[in-house]
Amino acid sequence: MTEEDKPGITRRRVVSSRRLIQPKPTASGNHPASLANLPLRTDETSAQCSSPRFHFFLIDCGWDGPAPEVIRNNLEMITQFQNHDPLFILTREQSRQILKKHPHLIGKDPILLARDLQAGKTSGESEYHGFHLNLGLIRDPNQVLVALRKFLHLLATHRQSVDIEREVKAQLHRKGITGAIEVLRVSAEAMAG
Amino acid sequence: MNQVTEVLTTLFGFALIGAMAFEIKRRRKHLRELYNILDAEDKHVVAELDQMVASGLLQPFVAR
Repeated sequence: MTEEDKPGITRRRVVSSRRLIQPKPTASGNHPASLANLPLRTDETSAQCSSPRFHFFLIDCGWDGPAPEVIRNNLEMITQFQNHDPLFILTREQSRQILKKHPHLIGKDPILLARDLQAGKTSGESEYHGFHLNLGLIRDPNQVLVALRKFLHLLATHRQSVDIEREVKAQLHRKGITGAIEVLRVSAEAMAG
Repeated sequence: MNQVTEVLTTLFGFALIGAMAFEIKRRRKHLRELYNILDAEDKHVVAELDQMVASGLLQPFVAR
């Protein structure tokens, strides 16, 4: 068990303004710069996190692919654009344990899961609410970044909404005539470009 | 001859519309797999994650 995989390890980060850089995988396929080596953490956010709308969870088993690298390089963006709502990063071992228990998620990680803490309060329902972004389904690094941006954009713009699920679903799934036109437009762009 | 042309044009039009509908459906399905709301299966995952947070196994990562 590596240091990173030990449960209960708090990954406190040093403040840095530079972009996170991940070294290339070693010959064994492991990422030497795992999440434990990522920089940053500051204590100025405790007050801002007093009443978060979301809890974000990053589940990443450590597959070698473009999606894990893109999301690791953009962890700052998740918290920056979500009012510093807490982001909990599972270790690889914790992620693997979760996926072993819930095999329907295998192959979909890295998964960014946004748990809506206020949806149940407003609707009076006790069920869990929120969204997940299954970045492991995307092969193209540029598309991973586009999907992450879109996800964060929609959560940020609709975070004050009472029924955020309906609005986010309608836009992300491209429902209705407008959505269909958007699908065709993107398809045409993909064919042309 | 004109009738044959009209029939072919109509068939081609239907085929095009069908292909577009299929492509839209396929892409929407992909989008639903990519982004979605938490469903019944995810409920157990979220419960487990909540438990990990409550027990202190997970600590927030906050970047500036």
